Amino acid sequence: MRSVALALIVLAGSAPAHALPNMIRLGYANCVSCHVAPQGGGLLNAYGRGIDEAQSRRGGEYAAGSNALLNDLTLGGRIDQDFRAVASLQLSHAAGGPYKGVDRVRFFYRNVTNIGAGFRVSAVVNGEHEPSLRKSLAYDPVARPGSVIVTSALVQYRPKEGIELAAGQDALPTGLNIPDQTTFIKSRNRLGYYDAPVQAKAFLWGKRWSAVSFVFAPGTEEFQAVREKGGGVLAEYDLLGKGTTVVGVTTLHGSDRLGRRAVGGAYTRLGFGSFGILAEHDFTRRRMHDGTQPDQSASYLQVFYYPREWAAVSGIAEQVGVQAPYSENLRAYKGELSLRFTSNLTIGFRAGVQHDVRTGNKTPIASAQLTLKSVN
Amino acid sequence: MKISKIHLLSARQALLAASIVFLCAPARAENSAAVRVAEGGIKFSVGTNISAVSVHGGSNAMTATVTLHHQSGQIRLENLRAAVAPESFTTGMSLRDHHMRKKIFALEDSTMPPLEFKSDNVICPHTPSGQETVCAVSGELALRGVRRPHSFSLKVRNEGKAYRISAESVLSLTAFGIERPCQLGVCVSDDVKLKLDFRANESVELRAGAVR
Repeated sequence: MRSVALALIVLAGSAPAHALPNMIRLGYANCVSCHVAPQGGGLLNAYGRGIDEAQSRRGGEYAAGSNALLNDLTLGGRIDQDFRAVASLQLSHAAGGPYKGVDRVRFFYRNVTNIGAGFRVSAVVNGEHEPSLRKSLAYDPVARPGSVIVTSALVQYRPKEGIELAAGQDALPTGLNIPDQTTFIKSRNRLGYYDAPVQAKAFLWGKRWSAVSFVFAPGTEEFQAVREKGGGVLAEYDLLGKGTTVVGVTTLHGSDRLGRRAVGGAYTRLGFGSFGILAEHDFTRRRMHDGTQPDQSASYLQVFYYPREWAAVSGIAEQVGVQAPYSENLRAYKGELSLRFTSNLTIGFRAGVQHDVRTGNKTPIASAQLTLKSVN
Repeated sequence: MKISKIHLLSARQALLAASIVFLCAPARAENSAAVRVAEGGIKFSVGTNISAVSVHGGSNAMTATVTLHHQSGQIRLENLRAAVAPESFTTGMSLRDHHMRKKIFALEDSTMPPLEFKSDNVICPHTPSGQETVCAVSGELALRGVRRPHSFSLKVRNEGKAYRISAESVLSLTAFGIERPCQLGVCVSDDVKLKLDFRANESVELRAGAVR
């Protein structure tokens, strides 16, 4: 029961600093349109900031460089940066137990410095008083991070439009790239909030396709036993060429002192104007050195609807199943509401239930989140 | 030769819907006439200097009139007039819609002349039921008050009592004296693809000879 409650706290967590794959509804097939980094997440480029403002309740034109304080810190436009604060309240309830509340406040500083000749360096520094840990498992233990951590530190080189090379510490490329790092398809595949291995990756993209290949080595936050190294490939294609029908596949191989894993997945992002569908299914084959084989399947489905450009509602269903001896069969159903009042202020709500199919336990969850950020 | 005159005013008609609709009519019978447009729309797409960014939009509001002549194995369209109000075009993002209207459609005094197409004389072949035919419609397109020769390539599939029709063409902004719009470093291409897709149903009134 305790583990269920803990899982729910993790489930209720959220990650506020990532790309929005639901922009597929407007024909933005990938992240590079609006984000500095082709992987998405992190800072927005100028066009992305314009879209960010346009998609808010306030709306209107984005005026680059309108923040005098930040302008003074840009070194003549070489530096893009922002500050972000996220406050959240999460409630969970184990069957027969009391409701538990977790307050969490996080601060982010994000910086991209253009060196010139296509080179830039970037970093994301996080500060928090309460970590958002993914569930620690016997075959995948999780270390508690410090209160100040660097989740991304990269050197990036873009020789021309459509090609980018990056090296450093960062989250691994992932298929659907949803912002919530606590979903099963992410948290159960080492794509949680603190998973930032050292890596080198190459992005290639064109009008209707994109691909990334990567190799990785341990980062700074793992336990010694799970300091993993490996590599992978991700590729996706816009079926109809309108930026609204993307299908992709992803694969990853990794090994550490506990064993090996191979992940294969398929995903799709579909946009239909004011609504859309995001779906992904992954299979993880594990061969542990102790002889166990806790293979895993994880699925995610989201249907979202924008009644207004600044308001999104979505229904989410997900599942994860793990084979013996660590048998699990969990399902979660959630509803979300996100209100973007300005490019500086977003409020989100989430409510749902997680169902442990093996035990029959159904546990409600709820969370509210306030996000503030500066815009330069 | 028999002549049918048709007036269509529908919020769901697409830019060249009427023309194609009437092209199909002779396939039904020599002395019957027309079809009415339904479930249609005009869409556009345009690329940008950023490969991953393109802009898509459309309109479901159009008005059109045409005079249809039935001839053996062919139909002839006369005085086709179609128009779409610029305000009806949307891209899914209100600010982008505002930019589009301001930079594409609006004159200096902020008025927005309609997007118009006219064709005086077009002949298309008969379309047997269950088959598709291709036809070209040439005429004159007016954008922001500037008129230029323009043509559409049509595909018409006869589905029996209805027709599935699509039409495509490419519009050059500079040909109409319009500078390529740019926003925060993203500039749209000069060539804008237009596409019509709609379903056309036979008009009972016209088939009965109510409009001749």
